[in-house]
Amino acid sequence: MIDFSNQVLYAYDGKKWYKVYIGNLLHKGGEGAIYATNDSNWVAKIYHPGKNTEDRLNKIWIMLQNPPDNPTKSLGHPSFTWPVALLVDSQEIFVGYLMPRIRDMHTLFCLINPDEREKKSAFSSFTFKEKVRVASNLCGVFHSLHQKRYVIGDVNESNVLVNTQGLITIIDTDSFQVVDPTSGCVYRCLVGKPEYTPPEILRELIVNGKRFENIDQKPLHDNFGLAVLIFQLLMEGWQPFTGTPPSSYPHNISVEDKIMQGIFPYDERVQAAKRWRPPRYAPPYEVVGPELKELFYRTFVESAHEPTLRPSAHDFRMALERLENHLQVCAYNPHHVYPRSLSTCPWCEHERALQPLTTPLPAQVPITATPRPQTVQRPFSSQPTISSVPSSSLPPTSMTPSPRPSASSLSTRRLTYLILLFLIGIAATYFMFFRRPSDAPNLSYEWAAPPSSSPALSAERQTKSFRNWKVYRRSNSPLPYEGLSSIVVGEEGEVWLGTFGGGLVRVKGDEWQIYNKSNSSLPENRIYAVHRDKAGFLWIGTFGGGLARFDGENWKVYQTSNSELPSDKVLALTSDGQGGLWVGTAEGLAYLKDESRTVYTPDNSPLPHKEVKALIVDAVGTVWIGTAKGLARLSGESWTIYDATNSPLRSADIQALHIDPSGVLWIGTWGGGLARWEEESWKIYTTSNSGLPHNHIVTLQSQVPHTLWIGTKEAGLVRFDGRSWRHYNRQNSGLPDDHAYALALQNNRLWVGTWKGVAVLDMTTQEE
Amino acid sequence: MSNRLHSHWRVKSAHSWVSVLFFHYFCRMVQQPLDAIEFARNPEPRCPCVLLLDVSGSMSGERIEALNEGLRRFKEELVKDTLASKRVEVAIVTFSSGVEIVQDFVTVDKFNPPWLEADGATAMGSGILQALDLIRKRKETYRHNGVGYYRPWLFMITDGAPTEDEGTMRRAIQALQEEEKQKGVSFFAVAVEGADINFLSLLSSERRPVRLRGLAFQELFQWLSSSMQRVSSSRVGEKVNLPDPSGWTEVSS
Repeated sequence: MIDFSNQVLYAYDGKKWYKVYIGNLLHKGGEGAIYATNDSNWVAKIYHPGKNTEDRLNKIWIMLQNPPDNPTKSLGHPSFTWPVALLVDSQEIFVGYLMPRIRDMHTLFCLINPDEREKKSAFSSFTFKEKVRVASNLCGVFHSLHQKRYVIGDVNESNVLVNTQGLITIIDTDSFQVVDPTSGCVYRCLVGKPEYTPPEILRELIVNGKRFENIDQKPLHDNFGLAVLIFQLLMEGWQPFTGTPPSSYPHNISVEDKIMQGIFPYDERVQAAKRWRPPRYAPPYEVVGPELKELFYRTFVESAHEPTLRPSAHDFRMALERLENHLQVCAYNPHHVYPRSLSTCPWCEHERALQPLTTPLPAQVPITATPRPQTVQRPFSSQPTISSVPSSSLPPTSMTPSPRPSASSLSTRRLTYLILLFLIGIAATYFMFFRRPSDAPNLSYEWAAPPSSSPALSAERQTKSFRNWKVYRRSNSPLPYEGLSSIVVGEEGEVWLGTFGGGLVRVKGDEWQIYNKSNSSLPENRIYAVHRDKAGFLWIGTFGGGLARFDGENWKVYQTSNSELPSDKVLALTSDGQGGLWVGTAEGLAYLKDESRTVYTPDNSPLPHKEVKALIVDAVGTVWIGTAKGLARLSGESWTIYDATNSPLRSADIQALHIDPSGVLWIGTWGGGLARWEEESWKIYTTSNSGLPHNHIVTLQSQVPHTLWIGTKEAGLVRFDGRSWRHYNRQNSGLPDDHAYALALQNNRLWVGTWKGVAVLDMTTQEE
Repeated sequence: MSNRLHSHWRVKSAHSWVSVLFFHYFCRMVQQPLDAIEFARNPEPRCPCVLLLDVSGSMSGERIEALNEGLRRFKEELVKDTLASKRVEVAIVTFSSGVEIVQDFVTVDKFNPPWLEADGATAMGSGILQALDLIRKRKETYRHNGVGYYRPWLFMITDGAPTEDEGTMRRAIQALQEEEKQKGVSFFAVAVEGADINFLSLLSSERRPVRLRGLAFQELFQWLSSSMQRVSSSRVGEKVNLPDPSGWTEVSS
């Protein structure tokens, strides 16, 4: 291979010539190598000797003149690495082409494969919802190529890239099948991976002995590979043709054979006919919803015999959009998102199937966790997970303008923003196409860049628009994870943030300190509850790693293996006035005081359910226990149980408990709104009888004299003063998200933990 | 090799036997959950490769050092390819006076190359039988969990001739050729200088053994990693073209 670094080449875009200085080698592939150039927005693909054929030149030339519509042009994002200019050497011999440089993107495989996804912190917060959006974006890009008669041909998990905003770029465009619109000559795609190749092409290749160079492909062939990718994306990386064969199958049947025979074991019809079963540890298939199930059946089974029945990229796109609009978040775990058509959470079911080993083998658990040396201070700049773009706000979908925010709901601010983007787009187009230097080639290659600043605007909008709100996200602060489960205010003015996946964060002024599994003795990064007791200890309840006590320097860890803790999944914490700690877990309730431990389960006590989600102790020492199936009141030794049958409670699934300064108990339920309890007198507030905007309450906090703050699952934050209700959400306030999971008051500031970072409302000024 | 090292190795070897036994004990106890985590987190089809390595006394010194470096090269090269690192599974079986499973099947991204030491005789037949058994069990696990797999590779490197009884060797050859016939395994034999190449030619019915040029273990493992890369991302309707091995093979005379 010849090294082209530091050479000068000439680029021709169909109109003008430019001089291009070739920089470092970026990547070496089978057919060519990719080099940086003196303009950082473009890279050069240079073919290995012998690969720069006449055919190749013609193909690139046709592509150059008929580019497909880039659906993400307005975002300054290339949806394909399309050739923009031919490259020739000083003897005018064709050597390669120029294409856009892509940054901070990963192969779709990194999102598809659960193991890889966890490694790439950028994707670790992606739930099913984000994956549905990525799938939908992917369809948009396919559709736009198909409209110009391009066929990708070699669809696979490695030549589709995705970024943290869920935007797609398809690479290796020079292997596409390209048709010359004037001569009708077809430049074919010569390769394909078996698992993404449709049955009719496999038959041509395997049964009829044809070769790729003799097969004309159509968009409907791509659509098979597209469906496989969507399936993998939604089904935790499993391929649609994997499964357990009936015991009579003696050999390892190849994926090619399974595709040709339509062995798609996830579908019930196939299970009945062919007696295959899906893999034991694949997620429940109903998670994709009924409409996609049908599309997958048509793709993987019916179209095996009649390819024209295969759903198009557009069909999939529409179904995915409908799915995205009909999703719900699990009551138990906010990472779990699934179709509204299902009554129970399939992801919880999936986790239970994998359960036995989420707690490690007994022999591997240390008896007591040893405190490690001081936690390290991690400055903003050394944050490993910071990405240059806001991670979880996915921009509008790529194919058509997104219908999601309806025109009427667009605030003027949003309109201004859109207009601004549009203007930037026009400016960029102007620079790209009209401002090229006229005295090329000697002055050449000064192409203007697309506006790389556009994604950052959205982050700015959130911090600037509402002056008394301040929002901390991954993009603008050291916050390691944007899903917040709990917030506690410390005595020294510091605030402790518990995250659903990034450990514990201490914020004091501008100082951020992060405690996680790798830099401290915190046993688990998924935190569900944080509590500060009167002695000043911070108690951290983790999901899977037990309970940890932190005094600012030393850690003590309580787990099922070294204590009486009934489960390592701690859901709620509270302390009484006597130095005792109440711990609500997924398997019962525990009380820790000095060296004594008491465990309450439905088997040994009147506790109505093992899952204890909320706890509070009142002034006289009565313990209120909120479980998934009832509220329990424990006063001394006597228990009283309240549920939807024996009390006015509309739902017995208790999510939040709070006692306000006047001694009134507030009960937040999952689906049954809010309840007020005072000396056996009840009052129920729901969406139908009050100004409450949502019946799923997640958290409660009170403020003197008469304010109750209510965090809801999907309707943001609510302020209730006993008479009127005021709503704060994404549209009308600085809240970055409508899920308000955690609340804490610090003087006149309200800290709100959402799924997209933490927001602070400053109430010293009246304007909100 | 000094006596001190000898005894050290023996202790280590005994220790690893115990841990292997324990590992299997635990595997039996908690077979399903272990698989559950492994395959639920990485459902990619697997491309298993057993390295069957001769660690008899004649391999000691610079040979075993070069082999150890080669194993590291193998891992380094393969982890660069994300897809291959999730598909290629390595297991290491060594043979000297006895046979040891130094590494049970593990995907390359989780593979920590061991430091091997050389001493003892050449129980090649038992080594082959052990490796075939390991492959058979692994395939059962894949099937049980509904995970796809490619034809396993059995890659043997030796510098000697078997020192065991004829019966064991005969059984090993029979089992290997039977497996080859069923397309259950691809067998490769690499002869380090001093190996009985005529004897090695009797092993496989499909492929002749190759001679390693000098101590070109680095090149050998580089080749092996590119081969596994190609196998694990095979193209449809195309026979996998293995890379040119001339960088590490000796032209047979």
